[in-house]
Amino acid sequence: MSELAMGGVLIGVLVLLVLFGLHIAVALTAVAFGGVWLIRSNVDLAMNLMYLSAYNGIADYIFATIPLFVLMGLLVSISNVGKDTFDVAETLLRRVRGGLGVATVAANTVFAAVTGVSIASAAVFTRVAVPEMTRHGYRTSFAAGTVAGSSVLGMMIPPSLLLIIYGVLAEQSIGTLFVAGIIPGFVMALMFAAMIMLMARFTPSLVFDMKRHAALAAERSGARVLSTLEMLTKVVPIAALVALVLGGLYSGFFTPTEAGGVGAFGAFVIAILRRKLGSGNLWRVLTETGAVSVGILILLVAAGFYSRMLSVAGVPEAISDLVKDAGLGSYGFLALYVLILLLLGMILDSSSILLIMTPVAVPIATSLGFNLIHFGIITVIAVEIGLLTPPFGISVFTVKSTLNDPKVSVESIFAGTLPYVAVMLFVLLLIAIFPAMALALT
Amino acid sequence: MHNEPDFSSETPAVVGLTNPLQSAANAMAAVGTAWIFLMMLLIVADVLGRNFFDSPITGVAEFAARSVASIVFLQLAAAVCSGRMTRSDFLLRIIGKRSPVAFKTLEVLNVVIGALLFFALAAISWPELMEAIKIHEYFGVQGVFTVVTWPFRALIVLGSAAAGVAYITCIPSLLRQPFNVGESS
Repeated sequence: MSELAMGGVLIGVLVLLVLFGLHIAVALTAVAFGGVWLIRSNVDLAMNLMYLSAYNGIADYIFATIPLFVLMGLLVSISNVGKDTFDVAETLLRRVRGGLGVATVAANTVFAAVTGVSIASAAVFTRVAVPEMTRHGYRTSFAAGTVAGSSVLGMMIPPSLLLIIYGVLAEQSIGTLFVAGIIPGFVMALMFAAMIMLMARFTPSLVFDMKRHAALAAERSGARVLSTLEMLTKVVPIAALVALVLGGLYSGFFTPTEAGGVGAFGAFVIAILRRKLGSGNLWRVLTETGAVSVGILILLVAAGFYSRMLSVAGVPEAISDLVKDAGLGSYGFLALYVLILLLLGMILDSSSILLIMTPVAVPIATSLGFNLIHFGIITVIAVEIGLLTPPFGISVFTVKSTLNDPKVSVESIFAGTLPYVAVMLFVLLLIAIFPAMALALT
Repeated sequence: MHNEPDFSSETPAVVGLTNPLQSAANAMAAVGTAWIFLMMLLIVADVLGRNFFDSPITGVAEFAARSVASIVFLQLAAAVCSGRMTRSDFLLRIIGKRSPVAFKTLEVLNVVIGALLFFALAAISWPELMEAIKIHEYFGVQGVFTVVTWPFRALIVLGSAAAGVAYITCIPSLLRQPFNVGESS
């Protein structure tokens, strides 16, 4: 069998196993093990490579970032920092049409700088922003869609677990990737905000529940406006944390791992000051940190084994030759790649897509002359869109289950996120055409 | 209502899965959990020491690097027991609605493959552990700081064996259980 056919079969089996509900780590390891065994007819080699992946695969300082950033995100979440940020944004934007929607995006942008998981943002802001928006006459599906849509910023603005995973698989500097994510993340946030304001002006029926909105406008039940001092006290903790983490990373003062450690410690201090760690909360946060981290790290162990297997099988080279022979050119390849990511995004979760596709795609991208940092940002945005597309859009499901309101259907939330998907596709296109957007700061 | 802590994650625990190994697995996971916190404190101490007191703590980076795998393997069995290993249950849910038998077959297949792989890993890790003990393998810089590697290697043996057992002991509860994947989303 040729390398190409072999690779096709192996990747096909992997996708099939994943679809049949095998644990992703198990599916990756099984395919990797079987692949090495078949190709080299050597079961001992398969065993040894598996052990190497387990013992050495994640034995690097950079992997310690994962539990640390998860810990920071969880500590920040229980400290009500998300709600505070939203309150301040709400006060500042109270005169803007669609201001609450913009406030959600703004709060998500800031929150994204202290958490690396979109799901965390989605859960926090579903509780904080959706009730507030419906109270002010917004349509619930728009509110829920806004939360789900802007939650993807969590993965774009550093720290970002997806960028860490990509960086590890593509052997790129995670610090550089983080810095590269800043401009695309903010551009996306600005476009989200612009889109909400445009929709509120030109298609208000999509944004507001018109009858309730009119009634509310009549009575002008103004939300309590925060004083400047109140705003400051609410904003200082998160601003300090963002400054510490992003500033430290950007100036090169901290390595990503140190930024994670210091950031987690900072979040720990905030949680103590706000007395949120009593009655077993600290232990619960820590346990949850462990559970979330092991879920990601074991995937990385398995993915390391899988990508070793692919290179033993010569699959990336074979596909790379195929792509070159097909005369697709670099943009043709990129279009095809993004299309595959979007399709996979409909059925798989984001980390699995990265784990399956990055080891295959990166060698090809290298040979076509892509900058791998630029390529990584494109990859992560494309994968992120999958968080919002049916039938398997995990951000939407998170919002739905956190909201826990039978009147709001999953379909209506999917509909509410559509404009955000459109904006993300547009930003993706922009970044593909103008690599400088990703590379300017690096 | 905003005061309740937020513990949602990408991989919610599956409701109703019980495992006889649960408490042992949780105890192992607790060690891993404490280890994460310790690692955070070490890194902060190192950063502070290096920048403000001109006395970095030697070996923090190396120790943290080696720790990651150990933390994972300590937590693995607990993740298996509580059904928190990442998976895509999109097709599985559709299958489950049509045919509970096919659904359970796939569930058991998943568990059996998982168990086999982790037992294989435990088996291959054992001789590596013995070798490391025999030759006093260490990492670090001789004369500055050295840490023996056998505890780290031992945790891989322990963790993967425990994960294998955790997979196997899932089976009765999987079979007993009424079809319930719908709850996980």
